[in-house]
Amino acid sequence: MIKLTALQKDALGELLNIGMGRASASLSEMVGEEVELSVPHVNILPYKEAVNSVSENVGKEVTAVRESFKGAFWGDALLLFPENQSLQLVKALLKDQELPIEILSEMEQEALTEVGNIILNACLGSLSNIFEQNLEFELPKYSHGSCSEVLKQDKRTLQDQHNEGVLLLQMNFSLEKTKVNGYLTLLMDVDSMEALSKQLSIYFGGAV
Amino acid sequence: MSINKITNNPKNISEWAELVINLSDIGIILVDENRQIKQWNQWIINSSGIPASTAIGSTLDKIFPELKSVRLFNAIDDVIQYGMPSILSQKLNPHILPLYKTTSNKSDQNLMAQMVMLKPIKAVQKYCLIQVVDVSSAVARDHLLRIQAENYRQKELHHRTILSSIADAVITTNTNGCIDYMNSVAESMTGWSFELAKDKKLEDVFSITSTHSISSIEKCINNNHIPSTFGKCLTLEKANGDTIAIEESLAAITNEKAKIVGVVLVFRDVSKARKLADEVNWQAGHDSLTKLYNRNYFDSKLQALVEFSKSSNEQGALLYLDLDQFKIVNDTCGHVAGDELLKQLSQLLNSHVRNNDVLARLGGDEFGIILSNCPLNIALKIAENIRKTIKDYRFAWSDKSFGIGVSIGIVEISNRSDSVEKLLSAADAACYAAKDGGRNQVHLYKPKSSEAAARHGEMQWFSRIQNALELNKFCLYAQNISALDENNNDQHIEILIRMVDEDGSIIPPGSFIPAAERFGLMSSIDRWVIENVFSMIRQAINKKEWIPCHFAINLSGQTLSDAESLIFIVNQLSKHNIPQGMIGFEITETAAISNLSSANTFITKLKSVGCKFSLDDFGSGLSSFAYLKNLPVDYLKIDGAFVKDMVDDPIDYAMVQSINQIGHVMNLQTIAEFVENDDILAALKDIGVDFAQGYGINKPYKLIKENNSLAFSSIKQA
Repeated sequence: MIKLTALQKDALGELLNIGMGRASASLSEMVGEEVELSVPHVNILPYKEAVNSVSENVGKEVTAVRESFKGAFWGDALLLFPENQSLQLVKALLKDQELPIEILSEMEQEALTEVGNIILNACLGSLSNIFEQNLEFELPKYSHGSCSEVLKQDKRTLQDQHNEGVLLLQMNFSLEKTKVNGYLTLLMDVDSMEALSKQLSIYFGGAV
Repeated sequence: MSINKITNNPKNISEWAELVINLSDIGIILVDENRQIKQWNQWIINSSGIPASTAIGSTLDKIFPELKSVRLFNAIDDVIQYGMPSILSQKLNPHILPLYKTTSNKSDQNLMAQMVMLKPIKAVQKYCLIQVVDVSSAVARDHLLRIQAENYRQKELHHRTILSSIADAVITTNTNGCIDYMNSVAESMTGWSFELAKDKKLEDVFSITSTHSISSIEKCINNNHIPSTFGKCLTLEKANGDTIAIEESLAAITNEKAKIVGVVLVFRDVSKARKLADEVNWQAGHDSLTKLYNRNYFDSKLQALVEFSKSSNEQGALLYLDLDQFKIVNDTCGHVAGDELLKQLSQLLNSHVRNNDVLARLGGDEFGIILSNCPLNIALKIAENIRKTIKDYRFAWSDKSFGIGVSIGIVEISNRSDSVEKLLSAADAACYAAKDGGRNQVHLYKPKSSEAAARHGEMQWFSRIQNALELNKFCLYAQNISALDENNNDQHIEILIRMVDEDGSIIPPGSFIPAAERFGLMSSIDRWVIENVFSMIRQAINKKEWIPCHFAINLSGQTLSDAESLIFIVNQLSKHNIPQGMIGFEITETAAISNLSSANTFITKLKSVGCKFSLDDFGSGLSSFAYLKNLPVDYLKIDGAFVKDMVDDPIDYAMVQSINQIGHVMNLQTIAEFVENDDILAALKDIGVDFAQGYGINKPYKLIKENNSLAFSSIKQA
C-alpha cells in the first residue's frame, strides 16, 4: 500500500486547513454563529476501514453533500452530517421558518446542498488554486442513507476499492450554539494518491 | 456568436446548438471572465422580458440594475477563477434574478421561484454557464407538504390530548409488537415513562400475570382475531413490582386498505371495583364477627359434598356444635363478652380443622364443621379433641373466669346420605342428644335404618308380651335372700320373671322389660306376677306345704304411679287371704324418686295392710340419701355394683359399709346383692349386713317344678 510521507500528510492537511478557514468564515456568516475547526487527520486505510472510521465518527445514518473531482488527481470530497444534525443546520440557516417535519423537504435538501457546496468550494478551492485548475469539479449532489451507501464510489474513479487503500482525510467543524458537527472527508484511490503525491512534490519544489 | 433568433433550418452544428439552447426549458446564460453576457436563451427572454439583443454584450449588473446578490457574483468569480461549480438554492437566495412567471405582470407576487447552477466551461476562454431552473412547482409542493404536515401535527396533537385526558390507559404497538405510543395513564399504571418504553417489546412493559394476553396480541396482529374471553381479570405488574388488577380490551389498528398496522391496547385499573366485589363476595360467605364461614356458605358446601359423595365412595362427616355455657357468659358479662368468647373459640376451633374442612358459625353459639374425605372414626377423634380443647379452655373477662363446654352431634356423610336438610336435622338431633345426655359430650347419630329396625323389633315385642300375658307364657323364678345372722332363720325369696318363647326357650327379662316399659305393659306384667304368686301362696297354705316367710315382688314405676294397681293389689291380698308380713315389694330408687308422692301413698297404704318395702339398687343415684328419709321403707338393697368388687376396692367396701350403717341408723334392714363368692359373704358378715343374695348363695331357679310342686322344699333342705 502506498504511503504518504509525514511531510506530505502535513502539507495536504495544511492546504485543506487554509480552505476550511475560508469555508468556516462563509458558514459562520450564513448562520451568524462561530464555527470551530478541528485539526485535519490524514490517513490511508483500506476502503472498509475507511467506511468504519467515518461511521464511528459521524454515525450510521448520514446526510452528505458530495463533489466529485478529476484532473491531476481524482476522487470525492464529501461533507457529512449526522442525520438529525443536518436538520438542525437547515433550521439554523432558515431562521424564520420553522420546520414541522422530521425529514428534509426537496427545497431544504437543495438549501443544504448549497451550504455543502459553499464549504466544499472554499475548502477545495485552495487545492484547485495550487494545481492551477488542473482539477474539474462536478456540481454538488445531495445524498442520504447509511454510511457505506453514501461513501460508495463510482467504478470510474475507484477500480478496486475493496482491496486498495483510500486516502481518508477528515476534518471536523462544529457550530456550538446549534450543536451541529460536520465532517469533511476526501476519498481517493491509490493511483490518485500517487498523482497527488507527485503534485505536492512539484508544488513544494521537492521539499516534501 | 450570432444573435438570438430561432433558426428553423439549422445548417451546421453551431446553428443546431443555437436551436437546442433556445428550445431548452431552463434558462441559459453564458458570461465570460469580464461578466459580459455571451448567451441569453429564449427561456430567459420570456422570463425576464429582456431581448437577447439588449442582453448580449452587456453585463448582468447592467441588465438587472436591481440585482444585489453578492452570492451570485462570488459564485461567478469561483467559476471563472477556480473552476469551482456552485448551486444557489431557492431557500437561501429567494428570487436571485428578477424573472417572472409572465412578463406582462412584473409584480412581486409574480416573481419566479428559481434555482441557479453555475459551472465552468473550459474553452479557449473561461466561461461561466449559468442555468436557471423554475422551481415554482417544487415550492408549491413544499408548501403543500408543509400545510399537510402541520395539519397532521395538529391532528396528532388533538388525538394525543384526547388520549392523555381520558381515564383509561392506552398503549399502541406496531406490527412487531413494539410500543409506539402510550398515554400518561399507561405511564403511571405500568410505571414506565413513554420515553423509556418506546420501541420496547410490549411484554417487557405491559407485564401481566397471564401470558394469554401477549399471545392474543400476536393473534390480533396476525389475523385480527380477538378471543372473546380476552381482558377479564388480569393482574398487571408495575415496573417497581407492585401489582394492580386491570381489565383490558384489544383492537387491531388498520390502514385504509384494511391492512393491520398495529394494535391498540386499552386497560383500566379495576383494583377498587375488584376489591369491592371481593368484599361483597366475602361477606356473602362469611360471618363478620368470627370471620368464619356463614350458614349460606356452609349449606352450599354441604350440598356439594352430599352430591359428590353420591358419585364417589368418599366418606365425610358433619359436626354440629352447640356451646354449653355461652348463655351464662352473655347474661353475666354482656354481649361484648359473648362476642369476644365467640371470637376466641372460633380461633380455637380453626386450629382443629384441616385446610379443606369447612368451619362455619351457623348462628348464635352454634357452629358446624364439614369434614370431607374423613372416615367416621377419625371424625369422632376430631370431635373428641374439639370437645376436650373447649372443655380445658378458660375464658377470662374482667375478674371472672369461665369454663365452657360443647355438645357435639356427628352425622356421617356417605353415598347413603339423601339430603342436606335431613343431614342437618340429624346432626341437630345428635347434638340435642349430646346436650340431653348431660352436655359436654359427643354424640354420634345412629342412621335411620338401624333405628327403624330397632323400632320394628320393639313392635314385635309389644305383641309378644301381650300374647304372653293372655296365654300365660310367663314363668316365675326365685332367688333366695339369706339372713347372715346364723340365729335368724327367716327365709326370704325374691320373685323373678322370665318369658317362655314359642319354642319353649326362656327369654331373660333384659330382653322384654325395656319394651314393656316403653309400651306401658309393665303394670300388666306386675299384676300377672302378683296374681300368680298370691294364688300359689294360697294353694300352698291350703295344702299345708312349707313356704318361706317372706316374698319380695318387684314393682315397676308404672305400677307405683297407678292408683288402680294399688286397688288391685289390696283386692288380691284379701282375695287370697295372704297372711300379713309375708309379702314385700321392691321398688327402685329411680322409680320411687320420679313418682315420689304417689310412691309414698302406695307404700303407706300397703304397709297398713301388712306389706313390707325394699328400696332396690340403693346407692346408684347420687341423691339417694336425701330421699331416703322421705321413703318409709323397711329394707335397703345395696346396689350390687358396690358389692361385687368390695373385697378388692376399698372405696366400694366403704360405700357398702356406710350404706349399711345409715340403714341401721334409720332402723332399716340391709340386703346385699351380687354376692358372688364366700369372700364377699365373709366381708358382709364382718360389716354386719343383714341379708345377702347372689350367685354365691344360689342362682335363680324355677319356682314351680315340672311335677307342679313348689321348689322351696329342696331349697329348705339345701
